[in-house]
Amino acid sequence: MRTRTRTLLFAAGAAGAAALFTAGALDLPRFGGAVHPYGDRAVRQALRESTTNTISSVNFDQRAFDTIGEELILMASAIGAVVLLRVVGKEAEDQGAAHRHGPAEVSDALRIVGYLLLPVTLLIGVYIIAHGAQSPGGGFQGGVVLGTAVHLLYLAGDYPALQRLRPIPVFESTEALAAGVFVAMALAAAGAVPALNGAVGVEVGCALVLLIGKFFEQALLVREPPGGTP
Amino acid sequence: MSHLPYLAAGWIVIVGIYGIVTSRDLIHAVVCLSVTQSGTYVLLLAIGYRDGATAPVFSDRPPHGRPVTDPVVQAMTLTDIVVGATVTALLLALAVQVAKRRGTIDPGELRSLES
Amino acid sequence: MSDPFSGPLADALILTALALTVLMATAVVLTRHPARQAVVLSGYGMVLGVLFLVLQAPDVAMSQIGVGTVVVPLIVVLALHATRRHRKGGDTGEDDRRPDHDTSGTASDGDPAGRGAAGGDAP
Repeated sequence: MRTRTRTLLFAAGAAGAAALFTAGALDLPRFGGAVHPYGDRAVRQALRESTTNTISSVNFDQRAFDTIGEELILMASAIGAVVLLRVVGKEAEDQGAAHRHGPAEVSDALRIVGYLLLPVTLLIGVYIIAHGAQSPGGGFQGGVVLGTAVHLLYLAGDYPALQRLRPIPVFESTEALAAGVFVAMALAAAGAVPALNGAVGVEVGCALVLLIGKFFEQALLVREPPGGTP
Repeated sequence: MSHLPYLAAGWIVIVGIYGIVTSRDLIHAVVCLSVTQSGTYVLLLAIGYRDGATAPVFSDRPPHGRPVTDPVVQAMTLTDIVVGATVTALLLALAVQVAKRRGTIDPGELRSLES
Repeated sequence: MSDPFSGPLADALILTALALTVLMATAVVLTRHPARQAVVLSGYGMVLGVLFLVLQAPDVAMSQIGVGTVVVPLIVVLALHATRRHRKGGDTGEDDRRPDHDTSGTASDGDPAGRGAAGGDAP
């Protein structure tokens, strides 16, 4: 299809969708209205279970089954991405590509900031997971922080240390294990919010470490020997 | 003001789809898809907002004071954001595969499905 | 006026955050160069985080700031680098690959307002 036809087709579809959406949205309850029947019930239930962060209560207690589904989507897409990238990586390595070990020159300021931030960020990630049942935070947010914190080492220019810190097979098994633990716990003991938070945190963290690690491997793969790279 | 946030969410969705339709680069298209997805976050949170309310966290205040925003839609959005990121990563991995197999990631040059 | 959670000031705050979000979303889509788009996307993630904070959703804002400003732009940049190797023309193909696609003919068909809104963001 030519670009022009495609754009015209989109314009027609978008105009129709916009008209229908606007008509629908104008009939919704007004923004900021006081009627939230589901929200009120969820708050009441969370307070009854004395989980002070209602959102964690909804995710890991009242709707734990839904969260299983989301967890499995997360794991499936992480596995898919890792497998796809592994195939590409294997073929490139067969053709004689090599890994470049991080940026060639890192300023001392960046190096120090990277090394200093790493433990602090890891600590914040653990704190966010551990306090997810009480204050804003939880397994999903803390897992994201943990999964990205490790890669501060790349910022510090220490790619070999980064590779030592995240052995891919260990993270793969840990992720699968955490997903299994989460499913078992959500089926057997939905409502153990801190424990479920921990399992989700480990799983999200491992998934992100795997994903970003694989993408890093791809990005750092070069055909030439390390001397001739830009 | 009364329905403006919903319309803003609709605008974000449509502008994201416009980006996908006119994209000349698969990575650009994937980013536009994530913009489209963010429209749903805005819609959900706008529906859950309540005038004069605060966040649904009770760790530092009594339970029956000020009203709170709807925690159900917030929980949905929260998981959606993290899961959406891994799905974006999967799509980007597919784009890397396409670049490897076909030597281009311009969807206009990917004529057919032969390998 | 004594209540910081409602009234005209709270409305103004929400409206400002919404307007910023809409502008940044449009800017992300209209930035055709993928490497620049990753940077704009990072800014968009931050603006979304602020909007969620204003809408009294701190958990969601946390998640959005972590994912939207760090993880997704980082993965986009890495994927961009990984695909650059495979493209025809090799490493030099990136700079002159700026698509001249955003011509007035195609863009003004769909959303004339979007071009006006993000006109200042075009490089």
